[in-house]
Amino acid sequence: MSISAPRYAAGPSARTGPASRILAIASREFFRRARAATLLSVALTFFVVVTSVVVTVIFASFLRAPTAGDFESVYESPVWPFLMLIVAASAGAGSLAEDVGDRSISLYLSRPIRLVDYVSAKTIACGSWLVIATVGPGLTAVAVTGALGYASASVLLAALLGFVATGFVAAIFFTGLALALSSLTNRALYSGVAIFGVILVLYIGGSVVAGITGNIYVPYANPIENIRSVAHGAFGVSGGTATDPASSALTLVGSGVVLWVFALWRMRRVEVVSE
Amino acid sequence: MTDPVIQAVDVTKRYGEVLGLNGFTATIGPGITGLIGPNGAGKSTFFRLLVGQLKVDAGDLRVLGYNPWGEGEFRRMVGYCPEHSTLFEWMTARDFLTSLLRVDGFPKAEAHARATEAIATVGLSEAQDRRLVTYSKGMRQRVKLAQSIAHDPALILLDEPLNGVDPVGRAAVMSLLRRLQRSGRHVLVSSHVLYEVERLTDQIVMITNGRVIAYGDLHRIRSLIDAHPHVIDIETPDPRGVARVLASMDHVVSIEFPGEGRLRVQSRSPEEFYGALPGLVVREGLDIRAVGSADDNLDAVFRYLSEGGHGPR
Amino acid sequence: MTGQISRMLVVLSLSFRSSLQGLRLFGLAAFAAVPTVLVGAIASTGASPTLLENASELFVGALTLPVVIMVIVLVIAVAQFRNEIDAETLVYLSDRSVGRGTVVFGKFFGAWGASLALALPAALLPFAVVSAAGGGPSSPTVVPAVAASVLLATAAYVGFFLFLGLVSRSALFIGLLFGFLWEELLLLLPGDAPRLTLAFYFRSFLSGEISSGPLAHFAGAVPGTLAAVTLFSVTVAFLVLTVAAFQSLETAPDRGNA
Repeated sequence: MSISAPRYAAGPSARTGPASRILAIASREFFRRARAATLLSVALTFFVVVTSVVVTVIFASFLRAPTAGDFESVYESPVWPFLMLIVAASAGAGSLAEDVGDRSISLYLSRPIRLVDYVSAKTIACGSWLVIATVGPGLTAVAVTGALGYASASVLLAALLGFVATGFVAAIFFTGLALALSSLTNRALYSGVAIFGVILVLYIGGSVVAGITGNIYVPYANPIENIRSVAHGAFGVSGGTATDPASSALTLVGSGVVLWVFALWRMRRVEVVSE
Repeated sequence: MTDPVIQAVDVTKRYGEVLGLNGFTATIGPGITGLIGPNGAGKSTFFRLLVGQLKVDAGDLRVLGYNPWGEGEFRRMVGYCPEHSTLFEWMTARDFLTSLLRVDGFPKAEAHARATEAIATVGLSEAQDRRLVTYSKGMRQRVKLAQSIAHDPALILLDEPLNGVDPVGRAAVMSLLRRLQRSGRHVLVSSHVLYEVERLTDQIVMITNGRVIAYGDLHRIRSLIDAHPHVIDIETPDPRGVARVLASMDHVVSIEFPGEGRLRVQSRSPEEFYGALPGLVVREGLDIRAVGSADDNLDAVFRYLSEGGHGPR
Repeated sequence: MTGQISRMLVVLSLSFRSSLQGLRLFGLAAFAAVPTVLVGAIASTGASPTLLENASELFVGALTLPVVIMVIVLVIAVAQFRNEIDAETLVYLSDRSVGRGTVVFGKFFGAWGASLALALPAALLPFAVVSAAGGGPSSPTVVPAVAASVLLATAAYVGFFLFLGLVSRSALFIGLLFGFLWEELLLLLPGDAPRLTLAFYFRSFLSGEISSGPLAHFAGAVPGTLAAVTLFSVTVAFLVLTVAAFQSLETAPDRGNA
């Protein structure tokens, strides 16, 4: 009788590059975030935006030919920012916090990926949900309005571009904010509360300070006012206290990027302590 | 006859659709008793019922004569060391124990003295002023043990107290438990590792799937297990040839052929079988690729005791 | 053995200290500092004392009480039971000989104290900034009324969120919806709908106690005394509910196996 150790016949398998590994994490995270709160808030956003836009355009058509500015009205109400907060909180608050809290980040980072790959994957997942919530409803509203025949092709195209531009800028900001706050805690709900708190403080506080002082720069510290300003510029309407859409867009995108970098820096410093 | 320390009659506890305990009946007397069962058997559920964290859905449970649900002052007679190792991370060990003792009603100075003594008993005096978040798993286990004995309870409930404790620490914990028993305390210790408990006590309660399947003297229960044939699986390209050789061993009860290249042997004396096998392989030139036992785990022990309608023994 | 009051004080101390720990304290303190920072920012622009006073009072009604203090109390109060149940550390209190009612009162007062440690400065420091800038309150009752309103409002919110943290696994999420949806949106509705919010009563209390300035006018307000009694009653009611719930609820984490 002989005993010999088994021989592994299979040769080394081909490994995929960082991009597909990032996509693997991102796709898993995207579906993980497809919870009731996210789905409900996105569905509600679709409903509110589409209904609001279609009704506004229809009423406008009684008086004159609808313009791209009629599509912009949804950004003026306080409901849209509130819905965005819920989407950001449900889709992004737990992105990094939950992995630190349940220590699954150790499993991710023990694989041959870099921390920046991991954070990028989370960004893609969270950002995808926010793009769906910020751009999707507008595109749907344009499609419905066009199907109903209430606006000309040029107006529809202008509105479409307006929704895309405003939506992407808003999504960049909210994604950065959600990830930055998520990186600060190991409990997703605390970062969710922080998202509400930070935006409401900037929104209410900024509005009061701007109204009292009349300072023309204070409105640019208010993310909601900046989004409205970008919407005004994208849809060709005037109004609001932040009057330079380009500066508003730069502020939102720049803040989003800075917050993302902060999240990356925070994750480098996180120590996952086990018992 | 002494009063039972813990008396459980048909205790049932449900978690929604899942039965945590299912007609659990046992009488636990004085001294050290081991509660043994595989993971998910219901040990922690039973402990949580004993300390009033959970309420029984059916049956009757008495701890030192009291109903553990809703009773206040009787808790001073019970000390509990839970399985999980989360603590008040921001506190030091001394602060943690002192606070809990003051919640128990001890005056500040006495609470401080008892805390210091309990920490010394578990060997953590040098680390007592460090925050608990810096503690290793073994140190946390000792802090939990300290808080369960600091108020001098009559009954100490220890849920997997040796988890994460190093060999030196294990010996110290076991020595402490024996000292507690000698001083008149009652201890109920849970574990899923038989040999740990058998070094502490002869009195055990075996639980699986929420039911008691054996309780009483350890040696009597073990002899019941040894009476069952031991199953050994063998992989060989020549099952019949190997079977012919093994059949000559008088402690081999049966041989089956469960599949190609496989052999299943039942032996009344596994120690004799394993001892003789290498010699047989060399002498008879047997080609054996793998030998494994389906019985080398506590699940098999429980399977023996629970198969064929075995009730509590 | 010491009595239940002494044991309650120990639980109070544990709750107070655990609420103000680590990064959570830093985050909440930074949040609490926002109204003061905003008033300071306005003062730095050379705004007139009258404008500063109006701003600080506006912030109390629009920002400090409904947003800043709401978040602080939500995080602190929900953590008292919910975090401990999830972390399985509540057993260290519940398996002691202390009464469950004592534990509830200890946690309530501990959480209230911790909330006030952040909420009172958040509400009152802006007035100190105004004072430092040479201004003064629009009415002599402003500062005492704001302080009393903070005491009443935090007590009511702590009572509610303490109960919520005990009975609900999604306490923070529900608390968020309550704080920013229920409390904000119902206030905007006509008729008696605002009376279903706690915010209505502390705004009523403020308008009842303050004779001039932005906080003096609140449409549909009830008398200040009635508002104070209502807030106190809500606090007591939720405390009673929490005691009853803690005495009948199982406090082990919800698991299917053990």
